Amino acid sequence: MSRFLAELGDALRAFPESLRRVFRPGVSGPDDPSSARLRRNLLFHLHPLKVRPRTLTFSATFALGLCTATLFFLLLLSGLFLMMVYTPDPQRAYACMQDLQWAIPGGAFFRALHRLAAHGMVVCAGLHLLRVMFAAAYRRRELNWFFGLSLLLLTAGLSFTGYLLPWDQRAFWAVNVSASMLENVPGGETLRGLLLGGPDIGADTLVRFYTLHVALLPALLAGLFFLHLWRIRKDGGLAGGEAQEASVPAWPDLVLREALVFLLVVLALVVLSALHDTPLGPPADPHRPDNPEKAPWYFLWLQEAVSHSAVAGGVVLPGLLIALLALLPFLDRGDEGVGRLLSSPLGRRWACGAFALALAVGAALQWWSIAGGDAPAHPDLLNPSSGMMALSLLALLVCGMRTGSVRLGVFCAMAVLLAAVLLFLVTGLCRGPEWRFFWPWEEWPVA
Amino acid sequence: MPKPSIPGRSLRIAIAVAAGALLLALIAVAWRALDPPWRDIQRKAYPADPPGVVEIAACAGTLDRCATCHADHDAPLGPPRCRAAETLQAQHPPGRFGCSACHGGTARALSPEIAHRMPGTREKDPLLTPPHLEASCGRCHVPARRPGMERLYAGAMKFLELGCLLCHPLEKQGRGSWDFGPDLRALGRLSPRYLGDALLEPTKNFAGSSMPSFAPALADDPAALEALVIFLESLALPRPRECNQRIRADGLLALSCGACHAGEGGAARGAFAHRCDYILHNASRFSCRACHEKTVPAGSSDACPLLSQERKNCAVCHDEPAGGRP
Amino acid sequence: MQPDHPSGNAPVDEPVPRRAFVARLGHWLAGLAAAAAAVVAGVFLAPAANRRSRRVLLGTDGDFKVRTVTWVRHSDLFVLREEEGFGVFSARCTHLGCIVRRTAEGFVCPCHGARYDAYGRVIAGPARRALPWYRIVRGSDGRLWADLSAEVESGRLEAIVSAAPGEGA
Repeated sequence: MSRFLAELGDALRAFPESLRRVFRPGVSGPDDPSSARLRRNLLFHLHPLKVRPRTLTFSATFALGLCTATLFFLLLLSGLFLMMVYTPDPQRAYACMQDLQWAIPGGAFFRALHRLAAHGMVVCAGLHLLRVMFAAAYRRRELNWFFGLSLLLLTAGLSFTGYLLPWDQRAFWAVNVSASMLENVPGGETLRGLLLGGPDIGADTLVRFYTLHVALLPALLAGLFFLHLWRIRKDGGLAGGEAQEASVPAWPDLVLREALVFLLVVLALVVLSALHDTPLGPPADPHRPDNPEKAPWYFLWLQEAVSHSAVAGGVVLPGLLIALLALLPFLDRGDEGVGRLLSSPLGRRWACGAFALALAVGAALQWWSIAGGDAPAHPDLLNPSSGMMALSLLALLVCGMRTGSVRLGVFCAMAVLLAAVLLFLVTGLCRGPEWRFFWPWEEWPVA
Repeated sequence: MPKPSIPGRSLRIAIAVAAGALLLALIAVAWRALDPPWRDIQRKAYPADPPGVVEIAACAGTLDRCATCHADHDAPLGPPRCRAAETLQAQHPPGRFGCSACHGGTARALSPEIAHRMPGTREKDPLLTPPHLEASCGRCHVPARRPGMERLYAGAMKFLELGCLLCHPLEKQGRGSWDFGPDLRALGRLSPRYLGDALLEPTKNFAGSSMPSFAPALADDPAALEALVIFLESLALPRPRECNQRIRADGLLALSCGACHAGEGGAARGAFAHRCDYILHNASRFSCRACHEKTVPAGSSDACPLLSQERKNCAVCHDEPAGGRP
Repeated sequence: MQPDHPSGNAPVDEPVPRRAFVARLGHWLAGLAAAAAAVVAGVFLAPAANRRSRRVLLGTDGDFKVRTVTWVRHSDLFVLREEEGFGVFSARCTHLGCIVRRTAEGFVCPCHGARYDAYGRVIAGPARRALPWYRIVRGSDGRLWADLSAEVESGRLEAIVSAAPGEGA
């Protein structure tokens, strides 16, 4: 009896310690080596044990990858909540959105969180790609460059599929237009059928998009995301550290910084979502598009390009962009300056020059296409999109020849294409009814 | 005794601050979610037993939550006494139709600023109140001479008389030679003031408008102007899909006949117009049913019963039954 | 990870060793199986009907006045009627599939600004093809139908046998 009580007393006294052992097995004490901490924790396992201090500085990465990952985490979390109140059925989807937005306590917050995080993820992933590209950090990390590229495309796919779900006018017509763009590629008719589940957007389409959006694409993205992180370790950490630089342990130097960025991103998103009012347009009308009908901003440049020519703007331009990005590690084989943003002053001058020139030329081309009365004889060949593509190839050749560097040539070409994207985005914002151009201060006619 | 410097001390402080701020932000969000404005209203009105969200599964598949704040019109919270109650309540009990069927608004919403607006409005507009409330009759009924919708009917007749259809298509009924004005059903809700301006002085709202001014016909006739504005408002209201079929079929005939048969410019020259100017100029006194007995079932693509079967009624006015002039 | 084939080191003219052959065969068969699985998935996902219904009802003659264009909303068509006869053409922009609207000069697409004349021929903008015209037929009940499987030459009006008793009185 007394022995039983004694043992019970010991057990109770040792309870906090036992509890600690359950959740943090193998921890011996405060002077536990930091490497042991990393080895023990599954999440920390994704980190290397040691990192080079230069890769820890903010300007080395701008923490863009981590921001993207944080936003993805927020998207998964808020998406789960949204799934609980949403039905992918054309009869009910819009009512679900109305309830979510205006009746369910906290519904507007979760919807805003999901939407803002999605926009933020597109921005961060895009900037991350640009940072890696202009730092030539794809060198000796080719596989991870492709993982990253696939992740960006998956992000765009998730945005696209999620866009239909509210089933309002905007959603319906944006997806209609994008699906019609497939008709310009070979085999597109079949692809369009596979995507839409029928000749037109309807109940089948909504279920397909929903399944893609909540199951298939996030699963792929999550899988690739872990491969992406794993490759960083396998490739010996981030690019750009000096080889002889003394490395520091990942715990705490890296992990604490990550924790801080994570918290700041979450904080920013929570505050913004609480203040932001997410728009919900009128319900979808399959027989009458709004006027004007605009794509989401990150596809607006594509819509503008497509309004010049479906083939040149909708197929060739994005195709060229993706092809250049995919070919980059094969074209550029130089090893100097890897991991530093536009490391050579010469390159910086060339890229900035090409960007500025492209802005000017692009503005002139746009002006010509908006104000010029007569359509050119071959509108699929002669339009602002093809003009910018020609300029980008020209930049590739001229810059490459003059500097003798393939890398700088490709950078110049990319700078031109970026200018085109930026410019088309701005023009797209200025389009009014019937896709006519209006300055921001001009009034749109009632249409 | 000086402590050995802990690695990342400033980082840890920053993390603590960020985490604290996040906690505060989340508490604020939760607070707001837990305390929507309608709760406050209910606490004042029913201190003992607040009913929570009240939903009415109204006609046409809408879910009407207005009663959450505006309980019965007799309750302390109610809006100014619902005037439809006296005249139309027998046919339209608020318990079955909800408030939004007549007053508009976004019935599913629980926040006042959204609930009191139509989805997709161009400008802030309040709910429909008399006399503009009549516009709502047009959601389910097509204008007819019935008690309660006299103005709407007068507006519809004015609409036909002025030849608005020549430029402004109404879905399938747009059939003028120059119908390139905006579709009035797709414009979204505009305020009565805006619509009035658009009729009298079209360039006031939009400088580039090519619409002619209808001031000569309407400026001296405020009643007609008001009626026409009410009819225009009714066009922009959403049309419930599952309205009582009988009501729609009945009313549809009255408008769709006029839409085709008013003729170009209201002058009875159209191929299908009745050639009698007397009828056209007194359109409001006649319903199509006066002569044409056959009605069109709602949803049928047969828009028009052919004249030949109804000629027997011509004798009401004409000496010869074949349609010749008396 | 590619398994290390012993054959990779062997001289070219030597026959492939059996073990390497079996391994390679395994790779190929697995690849083919994956392709077959993709085909099965594709067949499963392919829509049952990838065409819009062929024959759609437009209405009676009385629905369409002479010298007008009428929008048949439920099937996204325009019906044009002139003295010579009827024409029916698609309201779906040939550029990227939005529904066009009437304007003073003809039609315009709100999505990318393609402009067409009153007969659906391209005036300006990104569209390259005219709005497709379809054959118009009269059913046994006297009503008008559009045959979406039969495209006709743009701008050809068809004077189909005029119509039911009493029309035009």
